[in-house]
Parts: sequence; structure tokens; C-alpha cells
Amino acid sequence: MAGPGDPTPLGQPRLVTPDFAPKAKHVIYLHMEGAPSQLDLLDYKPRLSERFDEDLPDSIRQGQRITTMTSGQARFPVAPSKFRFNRHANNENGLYLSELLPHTGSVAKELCVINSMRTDAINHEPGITFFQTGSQQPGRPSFGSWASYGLGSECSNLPSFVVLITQGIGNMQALSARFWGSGFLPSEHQGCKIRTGENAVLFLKDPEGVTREDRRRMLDLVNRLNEEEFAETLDPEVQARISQYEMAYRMQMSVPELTDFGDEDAGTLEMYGPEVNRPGSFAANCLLARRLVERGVRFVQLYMRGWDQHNNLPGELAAQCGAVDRAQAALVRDLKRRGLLDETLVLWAGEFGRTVYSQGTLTRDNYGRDHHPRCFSVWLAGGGIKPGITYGKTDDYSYNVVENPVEVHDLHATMLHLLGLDHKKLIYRHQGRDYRLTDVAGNLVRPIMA
Amino acid sequence: MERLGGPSVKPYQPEGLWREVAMPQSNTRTYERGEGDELWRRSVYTYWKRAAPPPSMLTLDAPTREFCTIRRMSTNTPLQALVLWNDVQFVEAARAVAGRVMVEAEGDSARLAYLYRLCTGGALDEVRGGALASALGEFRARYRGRRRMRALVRSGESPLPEGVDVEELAAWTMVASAVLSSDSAIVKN
Repeated sequence: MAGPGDPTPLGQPRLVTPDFAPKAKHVIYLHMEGAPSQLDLLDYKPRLSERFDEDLPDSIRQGQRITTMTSGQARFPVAPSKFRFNRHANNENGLYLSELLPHTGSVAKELCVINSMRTDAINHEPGITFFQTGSQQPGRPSFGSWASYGLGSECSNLPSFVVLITQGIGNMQALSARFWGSGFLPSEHQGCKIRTGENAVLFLKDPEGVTREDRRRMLDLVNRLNEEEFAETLDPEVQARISQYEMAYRMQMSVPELTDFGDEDAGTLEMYGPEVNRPGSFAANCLLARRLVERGVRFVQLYMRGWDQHNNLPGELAAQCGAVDRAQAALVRDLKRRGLLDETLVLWAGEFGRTVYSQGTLTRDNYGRDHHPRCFSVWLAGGGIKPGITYGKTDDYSYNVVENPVEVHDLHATMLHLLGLDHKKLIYRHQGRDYRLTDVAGNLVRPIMA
Repeated sequence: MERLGGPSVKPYQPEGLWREVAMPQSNTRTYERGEGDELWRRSVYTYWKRAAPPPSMLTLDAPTREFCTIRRMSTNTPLQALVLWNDVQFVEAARAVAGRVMVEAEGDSARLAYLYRLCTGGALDEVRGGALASALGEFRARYRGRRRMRALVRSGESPLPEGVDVEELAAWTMVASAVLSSDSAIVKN
């Protein structure tokens, strides 16, 4: 039986026996970079409207550390969401979602919305690093790398961990390659960025003047040299290289086929919306994510940039939601009708939440919100998640969690569990000590598991 | 480049890699590729942007410099093959070494032996020599009279060696690229 850490046998897909029967085989992690406002999207606080422009009570703030972007403000006036919330039937008493997310509401029966997420970080870089790697300090392996390392690959002509990036409309924070880095894990587990266009994978395309037959002949020669090397050294790494090179040759064919939506029927394209035809858009990347898991890719990490709405939140948020709403609902629906949702765990999450008080000038129609780590909302779907529920509660101000807090490590532990991995056993020894995605924390959130 | 020291340089890099991760106001939002000698310096001089390190170096197991590394990790991935085959830095290197052996040695067998030694540090044996010679013959046939070989030898910014037959250079470039991609060239044992 193969275990984590065993070398890939001759470049074949490496499948590792999980700790127990997995519910999910793939993850699609939709990271909303910049931190979307839970108050305006997922955490319904209808009574806040009565508290417009009141000062945030000290009993709620409890002396909490806030960022230097608003710590100098004379007041912390309550900014109720200007958006209406609509009730969508789920498998409980209904899910209230912002009017900005009508399509998402149409798949409410599949969603598990957590309103009680918490994080330790208050700024983007450490916040994203924490959410992706389980540590605010950079350098640890990304979630996708752990999944690739722990479960191996199901696919012989694509990497097991793929990263997609969509440029946002609003205020954009920097992304960092370390978010999808493999840290101390072997770099075959690092996220492979797939872009659109001719070089969807970097350096995929042969140089000008080299045809497929030229490449074949050149590769035959490389193989002859490497076979000779293997015969002399019996080094299995040389044999592995021969098969990895053959996989590269296959990828040169399989990747263009992957990114070409020509074989999608009109109904599917229509479902994702007109933006699906614009390469790199959120819609195009959602469809690409489905095509990737369909082909056996283990972990797809999609970044949607531009949620950092310190000012002019209502306008920018509406634009961002316009870019994601239809496509993310289509992704869930598309996975479902193809029978892929059962085995694909979808996570939609930012790195933290946003403050109930306004950053800058407050009016009924315009306000900004600063970073808020103490509570925020995420949703999951598919892959062993209990569908159509909400979990956890915040106080009347969506400032503190009052029921069923979920820490980032708890979410990681739960997701690994659904993938068939015990988060306490998925360990890699580095610099003299054992490391886990969940460090020394993480409790399974059993009520959200089906 | 034989020169030692100097500022960091920005060699070839695919378009857009900095832009897609940078903040709009970042002063490293746009990658401005260097010119001339800056393209061919040793990689120790390559400019390192932490949010988007040089992609071929990441693929070839360069540590990300975020934690202390005693031993550099060594992996074996298909993406490495793509870098070695298609990154203009490597295609140009193959063409340059091909040009060099054509200028500095005479006759196929001397040139092949020289090529192999430059790329791997080792002597070319009979079996490998035979494989290289037969591939060279095939590439000569494949490129003879074909326009596409001109595109191939134009990879990169360095000038072509004077007085070298372009068709012949294209064939040698493919052989050199194969040798440079082979295990004995890239792995230090």
C-alpha cells in the first residue's frame, strides 16, 4: 500500500489509500480575494436598519483590535446594508441572501452557509496565507498541495493541483505565488497556474519552427539518452523522468483541448452567462474548473480578485456580484446534473469579513467597510456536505460569533475528513518536527457533514 | 557572461505574470525585460519578485526563499520538460551551444562529442554517439529547404554566429536541445 511520501512510481498517477472512505474526490475552492462583506451578502441583519448611524456599542466591540485604516476615526457609525435580502427555499427554514445574489439563491438547496467563520488575521496577506496554508507565516504548503500529497493524482495528463485567476472589478490586493506553493512538500505538489490562450500552461507551446513531429523525434532522442543513463545507473528517477517527459508531450495536446470550450453545448454556455466567452473571466474559470475536475484534477483553486471595498462598497460590491453570481450558481448546477457534485467539494470563501461600522462617510446609500476577522460567512456545497442548511450565528451587529464558531483549522479538518483524510495523520516531517495543515488545532464540524 | 557582479537583471519571462498578481499601484506591476547581456547572466543575478518569482526557476525546484533550506528539493515533473523544451531562454541556449560547436569544431563526430561534453561534462560513448548522429541526420532531412527552420534559429535576442549555414544550425539546435533536456545534463550526480 502506498502512503504519503512514497515516490511517484514511474510518473504514473499516484493514488494513495485514504484513511477512511472519502465523500469527496475533488475540491473547487473559490477564493474571494479581498474579503466580501458578509453583512451585504450572506449574514442577514434586518434590524440593523433601525440603528443607522448609531455608534457601535463598546459592549459589542469589546476593545477589539482594528486596522490603522479606521483606528483613527472619531466614530464607528453602524452602516446597515442598503441591499434587500430575499428568502430562498432550502432544506430548513429558508436562506436569506442579498438581492445581489439571485442566481446563487436558486441553488440554495445545495448550499451550506456558515455564518460563524472566524480567523486570526486582520490583513489580506496573512489572512489569505492562513486560509490557504493553516499558518499566517508564509512558507507552509497550500491546502491544494496537502490534498495532492495526501491523495495523489487521478489524472495522467494534467497536474493534480491547478490554480486559476480572475481579475476583479474593485480594489485589488496583491496575490502571491506562495498561496499555492508546496512549501516543504515536493514541488510536484505546487499549484500549476492555468491561463487562457495559447500558453495556458507556461511554456506549453513548442517554439516557432518546431512541429509535433519534430518534437516527437527530439523526445525520442532524449528518451534514448535517458534510457542509456538508466541502464548504467539504475536510478529510478531517470525512469520517472522518461515518463514525466511523455506526460509533458501529452499535456501539449490535452491542455489546449481542456481550455477549448468548443465541445460545450449551447445550453451549458448559456447557463454560465455571456462572460463565459471572455477568457479569464470568472464565468470562464468556473467552467474550466468543472472541466478540470471532470478530468480527474484533485484540487482547483480559483481566485476572484477585487472584494476589498473600504469605500464605495455598494457600487463595487454590486459589480463584483454581477461578475460571480450567475457563474457560481451555474457551476453548482452543472456539477449536480453531471453527477459530479457528490464527489466535488465546493468552497466559497474570502479571507475574513467586513466591519458593521462604516469606514469613511456614511449615508444610507453609500459606505465603506474595514477588515473584520471576528466573524464572516462562507458557503460549501457537494462532496459530503449537508445541503440546504445554515450553520452558526452572529450577534445583532454581525460583529461576534454567538453560536457554533468555526475556526479556519476546523474548516480545513472537516474538508480533509470529507476527502478521506484524518487531519491529525496527514503529517510531513520538516526541519526536525512534524507539520500538519491544521497545526495543533482543528475540530471536525460534524453538523455540516451529510 | 564572464563578468562578475552587478545589479539584478530581468531576463526573458512570459507576458503578464506580474500584472495578474500585482496591486494596481504596485511599482513592480509590469515586467520590463532587460536587454543584451542582461538576458544571459547566471540566474543568481535574476531579479526576484516574491509575489511572482521567475516561473522557470520555481518549476525547476528553486526554494521560494521563505524558509531556510538545507537541501534543495529535487522533483521530476512534466512542467520541467516544458521549460527545458520551450522557454526561450533554453531554446536560445540550445541554439547558442549548437552554433558554438559548429564554429569551434570540425566534422560531425568531433562536434557531437564537443556538444555532449559542454552540456554534460562527460565523454560521448558509442551508443549515445550513434543515437545523436542518427537524430542529427534526421533533423537535417526534416529541416532541409523548410522555411520553419528560420523561425527556430531566431529564438532569443543573441545574434547568429557568422558564416554558419542556417539549415544546419537548425538541425544542430534540435540535437542540442535534446542533450540539454537529458538527465545527465540537468541532474548533478
